[in-house]
Amino acid sequence: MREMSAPHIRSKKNAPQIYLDVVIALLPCCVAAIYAYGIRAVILLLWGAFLHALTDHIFSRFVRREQVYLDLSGLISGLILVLLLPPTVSLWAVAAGVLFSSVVVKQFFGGVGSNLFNPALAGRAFLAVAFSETTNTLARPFADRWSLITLITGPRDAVSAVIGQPDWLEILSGLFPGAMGLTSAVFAAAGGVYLLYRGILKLHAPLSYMITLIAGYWIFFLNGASVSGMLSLLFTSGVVFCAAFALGDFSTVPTSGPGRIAFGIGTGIWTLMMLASGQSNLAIVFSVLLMNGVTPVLEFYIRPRIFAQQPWYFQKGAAVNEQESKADPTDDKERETEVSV
Amino acid sequence: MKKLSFKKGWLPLDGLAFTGDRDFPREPVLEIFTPREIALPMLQHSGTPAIPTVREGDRVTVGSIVGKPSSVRSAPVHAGISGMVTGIETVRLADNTSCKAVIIHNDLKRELHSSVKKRMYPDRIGRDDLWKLLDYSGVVGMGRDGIPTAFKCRNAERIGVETLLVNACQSEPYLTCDIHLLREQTERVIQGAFVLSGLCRVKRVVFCLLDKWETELSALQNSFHKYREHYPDRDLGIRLFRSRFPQGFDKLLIKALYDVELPVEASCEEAAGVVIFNASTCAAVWDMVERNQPLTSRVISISSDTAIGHNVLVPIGTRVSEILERVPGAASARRIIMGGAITGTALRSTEVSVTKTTSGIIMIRNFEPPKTACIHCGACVDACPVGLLPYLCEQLLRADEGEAIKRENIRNCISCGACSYVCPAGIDLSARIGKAAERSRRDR
Repeated sequence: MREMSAPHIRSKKNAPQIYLDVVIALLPCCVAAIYAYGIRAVILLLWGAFLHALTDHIFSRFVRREQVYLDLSGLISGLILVLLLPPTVSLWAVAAGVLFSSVVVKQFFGGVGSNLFNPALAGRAFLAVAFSETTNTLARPFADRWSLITLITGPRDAVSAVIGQPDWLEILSGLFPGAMGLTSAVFAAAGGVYLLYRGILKLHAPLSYMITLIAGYWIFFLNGASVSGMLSLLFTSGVVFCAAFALGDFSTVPTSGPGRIAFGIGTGIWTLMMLASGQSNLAIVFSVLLMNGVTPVLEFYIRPRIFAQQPWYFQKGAAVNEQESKADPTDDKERETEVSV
Repeated sequence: MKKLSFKKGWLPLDGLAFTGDRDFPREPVLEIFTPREIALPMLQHSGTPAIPTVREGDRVTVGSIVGKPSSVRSAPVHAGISGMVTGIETVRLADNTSCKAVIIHNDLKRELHSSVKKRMYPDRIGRDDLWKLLDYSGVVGMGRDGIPTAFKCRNAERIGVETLLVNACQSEPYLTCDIHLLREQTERVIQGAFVLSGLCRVKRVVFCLLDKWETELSALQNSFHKYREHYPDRDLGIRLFRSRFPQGFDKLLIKALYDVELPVEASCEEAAGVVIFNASTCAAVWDMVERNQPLTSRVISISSDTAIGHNVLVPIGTRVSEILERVPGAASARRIIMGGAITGTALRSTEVSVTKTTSGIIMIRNFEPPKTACIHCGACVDACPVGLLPYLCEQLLRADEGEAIKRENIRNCISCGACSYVCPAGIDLSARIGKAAERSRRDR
């Protein structure tokens, strides 16, 4: 009986279980990546996930953080980071990205839950800057899936960019040259639906993001806008994947519903601006990161209304009164001192 | 019937098996507990403690007065058993305050006091006599607050309220004593509510129930027909509420009923014209009017998270240890809680007496909160019924950021415990925030 504070029963939900659910939600994307890219995807995913978890654990031990438990959030960040990369990436590049995302982005900010930026996306952005081949060299799916020699030489028919317009079956299944997991919209959506069912994903941010993108597409790209163009934007550039796993990442988005909606709209506007200026690679990753930086501000200003109080934006008068009432006693004191003098 | 509710809070659906929430209070016969000895604390209400009127060696019977009120906001205390006064000691209550208590040894005769007898025409008592009866009865708010009912009634009459709410929303898990009373002794509750409404000069009486209690709803509706003929000037109503956790709190009840939000300091009587009484309180008032029996015993739920619970009629003043002797498996409980499992107090010692405000004794065995860092999941923000950001408040309090806490409106916290309940990281949010809120309300 160490502490006896008030609620004596607790909900059965706990943090490791929530993270386990996210890992399960990521599995469809992983299976799709392995189906398309074979042994290379298997090794990259295992390498990224376990290296991330291990780095998190070692660092937490190193700084003697109190709660060092089997932290599955490292697995999640590692998996997402690898899924955001093309299959041609080398193991060393993955290791560098994992070290950056784990140590700099997550642990320096105070460990799991306290990180300001999404670790996986920040690691991806780091790799795009430091290892530029990770964004340019892509590979065709199903080429040399299970031959071990490609592990050393790299895929033989590496392509430098997306060639032409893929057909709709490829778009929906994600089986076209690109990042391993980012492209498979259907599988990412399946993971998102699972998270929704488990009550971990809140729809505010992903939904407002998608709606902003669809609405903004017709405004920003007025000249060349078409329905097929809009759909290919939604399904080929990883919008669904990021909506489910980056905008749905509770640690780096605001906690209140309106805050989440503002977060989604802001991310959508950033994405559209980057796409309109021709920066199509990683537009989503960078826009989510930009908004992650604003999350504390959104959290502070867009908050639930206090019971029986006006919303904060009507409370200017009250704040002024408070200041006046604070100012009054000092005046009195001054007067008193004058009198006493 | 339309189901009313407020926003947020939590629904008790997420995997916690509340031991057959529907089934366990269905037992028709109430057990009556006979203690060997009782310790009657003089401070069982909010206000000033009563003054003992008996001495060591006096003989008391069921219903004889042992403590007289010391001020307007105080209530007399009556003996629940017959026997010999063996001493007047200073005891500790569940919340660690101490007060005087009269210790009575039971002679197992259960002899009634001479004044306790059935009235022929209980509905013909005059208003002045009713006030006297209410003052003598020692009835206090039996839900949580413990405000003397006579004091509350006088206050309500002075202000001139319009509606009387009978609060039977026991939204806390494991507690079913009010519901039990409402099902088994519907008449007592309704009659008591009518007496109180007469005293407060209120025309409208509304019963508040949770939607899961369907039989109780029909029991109420069936007996309404009779009372509509008896009291044609009264307006009767039932309102159903969704069974969402802190629904029983008075401000949230009013929010759900009238969509009016009252600040923490506002009293329901003045701001909303509503006076709220607990169902058990109403039943106790009717006992006084009908049989001249003061409040000497109450129904409490004895339950646990691993066993089936019971509702038991216990004389007030019975020690918890004596009750637990007869509960199988009580020795292995990790925590013994007085009150509900969410807002109640864990007992340090089981030598504490059952008071007028105790609604249950709950034993918790499986309490293993996972202890991790805050993962910023926002579950507490979604659960807080008053719109705080509990995780942020807790971080600021831990860092002792005095100025920043003032901006967080922490004084609005009602200590309902919803945030701690839902927290997947097992952080003691509501304990810390509730304390800080109490402090800031006091300072103001």
